[in-house]
Amino acid sequence: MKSEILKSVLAAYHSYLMVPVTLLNHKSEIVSTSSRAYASDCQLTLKNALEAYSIIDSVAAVQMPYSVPKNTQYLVTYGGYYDDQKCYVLAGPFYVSSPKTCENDISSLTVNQVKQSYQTIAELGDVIQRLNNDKSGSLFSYLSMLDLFYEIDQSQTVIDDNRLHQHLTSYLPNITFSGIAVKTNGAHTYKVTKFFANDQVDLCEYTFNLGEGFLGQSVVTMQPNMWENITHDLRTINLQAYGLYPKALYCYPLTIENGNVAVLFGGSTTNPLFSSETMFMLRQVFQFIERSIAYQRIDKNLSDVHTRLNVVNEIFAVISKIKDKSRILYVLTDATLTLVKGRFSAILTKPETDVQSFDMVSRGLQSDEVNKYKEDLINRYFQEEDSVKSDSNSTLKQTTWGDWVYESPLTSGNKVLGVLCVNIANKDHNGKHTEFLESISQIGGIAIDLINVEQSKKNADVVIECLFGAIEEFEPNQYEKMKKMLRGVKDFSEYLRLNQEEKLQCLKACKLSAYSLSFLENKGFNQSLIQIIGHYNELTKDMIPSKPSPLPSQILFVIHYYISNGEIPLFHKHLHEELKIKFSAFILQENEEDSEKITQALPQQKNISVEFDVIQVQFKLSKREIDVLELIIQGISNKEIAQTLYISEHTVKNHLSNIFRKLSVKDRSQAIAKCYHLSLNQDSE
Amino acid sequence: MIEENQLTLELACIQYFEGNQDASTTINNLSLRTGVTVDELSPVLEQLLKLSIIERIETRDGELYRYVQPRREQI
Repeated sequence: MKSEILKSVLAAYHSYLMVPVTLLNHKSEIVSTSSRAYASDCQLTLKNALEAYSIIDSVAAVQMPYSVPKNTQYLVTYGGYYDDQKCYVLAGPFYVSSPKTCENDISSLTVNQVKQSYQTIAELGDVIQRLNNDKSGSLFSYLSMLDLFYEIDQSQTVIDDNRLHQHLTSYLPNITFSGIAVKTNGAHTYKVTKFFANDQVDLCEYTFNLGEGFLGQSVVTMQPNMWENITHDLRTINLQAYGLYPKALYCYPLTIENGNVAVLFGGSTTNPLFSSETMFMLRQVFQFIERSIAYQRIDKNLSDVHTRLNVVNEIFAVISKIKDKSRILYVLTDATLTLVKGRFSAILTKPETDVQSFDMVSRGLQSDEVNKYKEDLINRYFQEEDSVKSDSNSTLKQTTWGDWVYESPLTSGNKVLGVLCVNIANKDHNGKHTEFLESISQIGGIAIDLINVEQSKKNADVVIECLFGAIEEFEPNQYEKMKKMLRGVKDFSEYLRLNQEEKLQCLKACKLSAYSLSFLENKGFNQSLIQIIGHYNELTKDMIPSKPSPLPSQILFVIHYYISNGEIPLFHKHLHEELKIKFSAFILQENEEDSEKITQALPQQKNISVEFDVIQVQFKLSKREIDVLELIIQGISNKEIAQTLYISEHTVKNHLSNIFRKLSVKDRSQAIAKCYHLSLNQDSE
Repeated sequence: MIEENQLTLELACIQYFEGNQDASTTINNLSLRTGVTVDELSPVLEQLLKLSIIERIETRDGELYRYVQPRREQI
């Protein structure tokens, strides 16, 4: 016998009696148990019991309750059954009030529970005793029947298999027919879908309403029911019309898929009464089936969730590789259609700009349906100027021609970019696709938004190049100046170590800087670019800025000023002081080889001289460091400084490090720029 | 084939056909590309045919499958 059968039987007993059950052989060795936690206690109990009955010949049953050893109270039942010449003992349930070793492991039962258990045990003991006494092999048949459930394909529920009813009528005493009725598409109508009888009767296709006859009554109460002596009961009339004349009937309603109810039933056309053994068996089998269905349902739900997660993951992986909006729309349309298996799917996307139009991608829709549906969608989702929806849940809608459609907005942030729509076969769909579609539409919305942003950036870049090219056509001189300015902006941005995005922003602004702000507005450029040019214009016109100019505007201005005037704008009030120093250092570094250019770059009209005394006091430079600084400003190399001051080059480098540190500059050119800058400020004061 | 495998394969085929919109391919070629047996691919392609995502063309050399672009209208 398969160990799985034993396990399932013991598990059923455990569940039914709510206490562990263990199967031991005649040597008190554990064959199978419903709970390892209590197995050893059970073993000990049974060992003591078996010692009293040292020889178990064939099958034996002992009256319950049984108490061993002295002063220890056990509530024990055990029966045996005979199989392959081996003797087994079925033990349990049991209750221990002491000894101490067991107290912690076994929960105490209340008086009522003990009483109830005793009754159940008596019933169970009676069944086992009868089964064993008649030696008819019924227990084995029952176990075989349970084994059948394992053989039935897991993808099917046991209720769909005819063999169940064949087994019930073959193995259970007095059961001559068995079947199942399930809910039809009608709201309150049930139909017998499986039926098996020992005679030629066939109840398949028999339909009944809620509350009608015994079966209908069972659906209403949702409780197992048993009726005996019903030969003359009027409620059997409908069954008699099919040739079935039941004398006893047992109904067991159970919940199957999607909350629907089915009724398992069985009965006898020969015996007006059920034996307790048959009753027990029927209840066990039907309970087992109910649990099996519940397990399958949970397993299916878990599997569905897993499948959906995997599929969403797959779609995400596919979409993340696609950089083209059309292709994303195609994949979303096809993927949702594949998942939901409806007749059609469609995506309507909103235009990005006023010159574009609504875009409808669909599969499975006829021309006239496309036209009707797109108008309906535009009216419902995009009628308002700025379609912002806080609710992005999918909803079930009916099209104007009557099909049911899940509609899920494609959103990114609080923008609605479009609607993903997929047809479902019928309205009563259990909604398992809702969350799934929401996830897909969110992924799709974000992907489309990213592509839109990328596309608008590309479009803006094309326009910038066109406008810059137009300057060459209409203002060649201005164009040459702009080219110089671009080179300056590029080099100075690199000198300032701006990141790539900041640098590109400066260059784009530079290319547009020849145009007026009013011309550039409303051309689709991003606002930060417009702001840079606005502030740059304020600086060039020497206007008082409305707020501090951003760095790119200041960069543009210093380059523009230097190219236009040939000198550094050291006196400009609205430029950042640090930028002035850095720009001075940049110019000094750029023209290191050309001292004339450096001289020109510094403002001549002020006739400035470096105030070394002030610098020495302010920055706490030593006399020797001031000597070195004076020579640096004259553009003398380290080697020449060493020769002039009769010190080694190494000492010169040490002095330079100290000077840079004290002035908080990074190199020679910044040091020079800072000295001039300080002297200019001193001068202006 | 369990539902998950079927769906995953359907998506993989959609990805292939959508990415190669001008190509027509045999089931054997698709089997080589996806590493899935012809027996497993067959129901997948039947499903995509049923949904009109792909079409089947009869040629002298056998059956070819190719992508059918969704309907697109700009309004």
